Amino acid sequence: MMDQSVMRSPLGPHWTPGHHGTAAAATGGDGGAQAGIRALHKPGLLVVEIAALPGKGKAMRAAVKKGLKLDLGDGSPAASLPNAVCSGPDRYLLTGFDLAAVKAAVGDLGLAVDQSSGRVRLSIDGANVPGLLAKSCPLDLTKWPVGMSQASHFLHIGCTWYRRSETGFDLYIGRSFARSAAEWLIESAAEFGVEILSPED
Amino acid sequence: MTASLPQPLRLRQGGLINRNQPLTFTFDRRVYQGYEGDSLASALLASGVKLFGRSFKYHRPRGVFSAGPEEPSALVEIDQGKAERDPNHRATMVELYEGLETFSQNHIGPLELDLMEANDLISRFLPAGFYYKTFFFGGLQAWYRFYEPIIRRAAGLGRPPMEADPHHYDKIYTFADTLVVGGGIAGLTTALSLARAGQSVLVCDERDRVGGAALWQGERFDGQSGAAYVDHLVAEIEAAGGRVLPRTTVFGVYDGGTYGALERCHDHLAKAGRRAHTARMKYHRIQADRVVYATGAIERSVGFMGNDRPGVMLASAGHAYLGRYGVRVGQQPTIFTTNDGGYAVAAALAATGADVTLLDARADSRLEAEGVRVLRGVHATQAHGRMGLHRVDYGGAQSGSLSTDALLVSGGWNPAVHLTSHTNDRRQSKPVYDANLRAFLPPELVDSEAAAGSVTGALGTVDCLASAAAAAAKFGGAALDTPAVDEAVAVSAPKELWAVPGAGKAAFLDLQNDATVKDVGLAAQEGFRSVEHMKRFTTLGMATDQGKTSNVNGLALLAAATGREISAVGTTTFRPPYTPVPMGAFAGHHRQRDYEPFRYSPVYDWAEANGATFVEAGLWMRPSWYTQTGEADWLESAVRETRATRDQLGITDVSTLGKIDIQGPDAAEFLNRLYTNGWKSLPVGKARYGLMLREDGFVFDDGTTSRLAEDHFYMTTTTAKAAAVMAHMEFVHQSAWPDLQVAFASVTDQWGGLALAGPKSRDCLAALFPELDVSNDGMPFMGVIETTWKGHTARLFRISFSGELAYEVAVPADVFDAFWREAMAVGAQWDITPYGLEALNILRIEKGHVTGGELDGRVSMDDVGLGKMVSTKKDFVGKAMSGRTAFTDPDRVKMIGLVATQVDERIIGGGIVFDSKDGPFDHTTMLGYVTSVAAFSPLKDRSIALAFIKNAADYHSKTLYVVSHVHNRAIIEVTAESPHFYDPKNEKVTG
Amino acid sequence: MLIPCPHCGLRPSEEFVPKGLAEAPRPALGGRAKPDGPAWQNYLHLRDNVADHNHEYFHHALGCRSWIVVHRHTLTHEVTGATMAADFWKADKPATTGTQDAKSPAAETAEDGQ
Repeated sequence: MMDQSVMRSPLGPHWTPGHHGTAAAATGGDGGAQAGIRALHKPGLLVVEIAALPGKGKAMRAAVKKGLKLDLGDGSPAASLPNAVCSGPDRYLLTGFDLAAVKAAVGDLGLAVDQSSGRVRLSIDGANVPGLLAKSCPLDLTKWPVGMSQASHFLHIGCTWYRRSETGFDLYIGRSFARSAAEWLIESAAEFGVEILSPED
Repeated sequence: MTASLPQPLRLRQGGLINRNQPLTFTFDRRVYQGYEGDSLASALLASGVKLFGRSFKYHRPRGVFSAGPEEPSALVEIDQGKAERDPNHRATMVELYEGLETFSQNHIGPLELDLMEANDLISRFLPAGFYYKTFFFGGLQAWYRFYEPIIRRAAGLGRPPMEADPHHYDKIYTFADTLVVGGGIAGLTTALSLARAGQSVLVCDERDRVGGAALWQGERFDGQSGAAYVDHLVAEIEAAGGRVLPRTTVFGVYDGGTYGALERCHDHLAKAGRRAHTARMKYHRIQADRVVYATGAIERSVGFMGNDRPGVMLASAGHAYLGRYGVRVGQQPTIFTTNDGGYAVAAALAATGADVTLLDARADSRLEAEGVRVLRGVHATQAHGRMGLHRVDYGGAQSGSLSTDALLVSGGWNPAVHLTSHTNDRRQSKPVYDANLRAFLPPELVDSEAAAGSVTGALGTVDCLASAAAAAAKFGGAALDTPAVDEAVAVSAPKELWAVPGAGKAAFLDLQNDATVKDVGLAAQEGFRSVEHMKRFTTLGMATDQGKTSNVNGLALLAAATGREISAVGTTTFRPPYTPVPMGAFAGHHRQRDYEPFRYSPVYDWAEANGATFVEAGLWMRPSWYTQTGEADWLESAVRETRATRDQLGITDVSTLGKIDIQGPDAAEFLNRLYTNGWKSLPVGKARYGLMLREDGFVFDDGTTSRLAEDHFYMTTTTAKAAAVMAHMEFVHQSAWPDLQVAFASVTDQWGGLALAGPKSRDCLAALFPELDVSNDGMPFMGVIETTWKGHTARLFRISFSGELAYEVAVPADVFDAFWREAMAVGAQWDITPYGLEALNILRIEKGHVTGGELDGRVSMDDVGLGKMVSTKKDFVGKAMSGRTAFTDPDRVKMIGLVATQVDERIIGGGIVFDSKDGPFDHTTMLGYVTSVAAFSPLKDRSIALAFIKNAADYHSKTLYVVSHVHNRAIIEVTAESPHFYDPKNEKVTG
Repeated sequence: MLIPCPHCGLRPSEEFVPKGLAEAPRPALGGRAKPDGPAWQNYLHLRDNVADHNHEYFHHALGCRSWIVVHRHTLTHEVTGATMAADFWKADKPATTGTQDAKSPAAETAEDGQ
């Protein structure tokens, strides 16, 4: 069994649960009653990266559908799922599956590698999330349907985005960058007020 | 509440100011009052201030010349302390707030008694080109010692802040279907039409209040005032989903529908009124499918003597101060015009009871203005009044002199074509001269561009509305009812008059740079026919205003002086930014500590708590050395760490190495093509050192790669080249061999790694993994074992970079901190010593291992002694070019070791190697250069180095000399030997 | 500048790293080519660099990590299409989207006798 007690957070001292930046009540001008941003990092998330061998993308998606019950559609970023986001051509980050199960599903159609320590998922939500993204992400929200992933950057740190809902986004980022990213996220969100949620909530 | 300080030129009514909200401010420490809605210029004018500053070159007294962003003269400093001293604000654009403190610029001593005014008295000795020609006398020394300091003191606009900018700036990604630049009537009308058609429309206007000339011209729209009609349009645009951003200057047009805009969020607010955590300015990078240039037009002046005197201003400025701010700029104003445009302001001023005279340069004009005395066929010849205008002379059909306290000049209008000619993505991007309108118009626009309003050359509001309808139609806008325009202001093309007859010196074109009509003539005389050359010679059109009020007059006069058509002379190149943008806005969040993200190892916190001094290695923060109590400097710490590793046990963090997981049936074949050596025969459970070349045959990177399964490899790269190697692998796979059955992923961040090095490393590893056999038989050199630690995957590698018996252990990054602490606890019995990059460097230089210092992109495999690592049986990246003839040149430099002769002398990194101490120490005698230095090697008890020299084999055991031309030029005596100083037979590593 | 990544769609140039012109394919494997031979000279060093439409390699480094070949006018910066590098040198490569006058580089190099 994996000893969970020896695992440490990648986010550093700035990421502390509670309120940061402008008090929520003072941000009414931008977002109304639901003003502000809520951010969450759940430690211990299982992440497996898979990538098809050349020419095997379609077959790998079929195998993943059969073995893991994940329908990745035609392989476009728009066909991503909350627990299977497309990060490149025939390449995905799967969350919540252990490596052995994914390997069994993918078989010899592609690569499967553990990234549970390598990728950090930060989830943000709230009425002012569009304001935060305007500062940090070069993508047009009006051309970004819910359920679509996009490989891009967060303040010039390479990442994969996934849009969960109208104002809810997941941000997958490399672990060594996560401390800077967390610090910058809090600073950039300060004008709207940001609530770092406790993982137990 | 009303203002208590006098505002003699403020009318009792009129304007868009809030008379219930007086505001107190200072200018040169004197206290004044204005109203909410005032600009600094309007409030000072209302208070009777005429003198705003001094000019750049002659230090002539100057007033305010315009009422907008084109202002060349009235530049002020806003001072809120050393760090927030901000020069060159245009008084016309500074919004008044309670407590605003401002200062005039460009004078020594009081503004009224500027000591530099002597420049004006000797101005006939300071013509254009004077500086270029005069200060060669006495040679370069005289320039540095004498001329330059004096000129520097005299020149420049304003004073810079003396501390780092404390403000916060944001970069914003903004998107729209259509961007409308300029929120005048034409821009707003086009925007409304497009927004009603369902487009997402963004209107940016540089002023604090949108509306443009409609706010002050006095025209009525469907019976409403201009201001009310503008409010109606804005409300309609927003109701249709459009956005209107005031205080936002679109300053540049870039490729692919990208626009730069600067939104000023704080500068109009007193400090207490600024919301916490918000930016002073936002730099919007706007992405829009279409753009409408509704940038308006800028009025131009006419060259005549004294046309820069305080009290002389553009006619539109006088009109704007009256209409928008309720300020009558003179009791006895004179208008001098070359077109119909001066009549409306004349009439408006006369209606307030002023005594108005209008000089119309056209003899055939029939226009009248109520209550205004009109003289036709006459032009102003000279304005008088150093500190404030009091008289104007005129000539032409009749001549005479008028007593006057304000002279409003209109020489016609220049469409603000700047943005329309920023990009290069059309064949023709320069503005086009229209001889009928006597103005430059935008070049032919592409399908995604349209123009509306006076920038198109439209004369008058009715024409502007028609051009707005045309622009909207081009982009599929919804049809709108055109408003009825009452009390329309007459506008016409001007009579051609760039400078009045006889104008010369002191007839100014560029008020900011003191370029005169005479200077342009001089430029032509000196043979500067190109308008770009004329600009550089005269400085006309330079500095913060970029000649918005002067360029066209200057180039027209150049055309006349060189006997060419204006269209043949053309404009200078318009480049972004349209108006100045603070550097902070471009930097945004990314400055100082936040310039780039840092990458942190999982044991960063441990290292910080245990005395590490960090160095930035790429983006990584890496421990350089760990200071212990009593250690004097980094070298003492590093040498202690080196000795402890050689004698007992050292531990270092190698988490930063690039790591790539490679899987697939062709994985070994892929490695064969990437590396110079062979990989197919590598057994599962073994690692191998590999060398990669670039396609041109030079060494690219090195590292070890392990075979975890038949079709599964784990590659490591150097920290510095990790990203480049990954990109290289992706490139060759995708561009050259896309069908090769291999897939790979970066796992650099997945694994934390440590190296245990030294004679006790095996004991320590055994204690950490008691269930494993890590003996020399159980885990031989280059052996790899995959196991678990507390249930988490762990990978053990027997590899060495230090030259000692050594192991690397990788565990998932989330548990690496705990694993490191356990290694420290277990290793305590052998005095385990953490070592940083400095000790690591000493260890590897003693061993003769190369790193980025050696692999600098100029070396071949042979140069670094790795020529044997080439497989002849296969092809690989760089193989063909590794046989290039230059690589076998005997003069080619090759790696060698150097040892200082003297114990107390340090070899200097980057030093040049010579074989004689007699010199000359230059390229004719140079043997080579030093790449890496250990300031002190415990092994040799002195400084050692790795170097590259010609004929390296011939110099073994010979005495050489190292000189650093960029250090102290000391001649360091060294002895050359093999670079493998330590354990050349590799017994320690393999034993 | 905007670059149409075939996988991600239209993206700003800040996400990409350029590598230069894609004018010749990598010479075939086998190690027989001489370093001074025209195949390697063409591949490594010879670039026409015309002030016109060109095929250029770009790496979508802050994105999907694809290498793509962009058809771009080097004077006007007009971008008329892009292809995956993996497809670009294939004989049956899909047409470069939006390209009007793109010459087939595969055909050109074939004429050089490779």
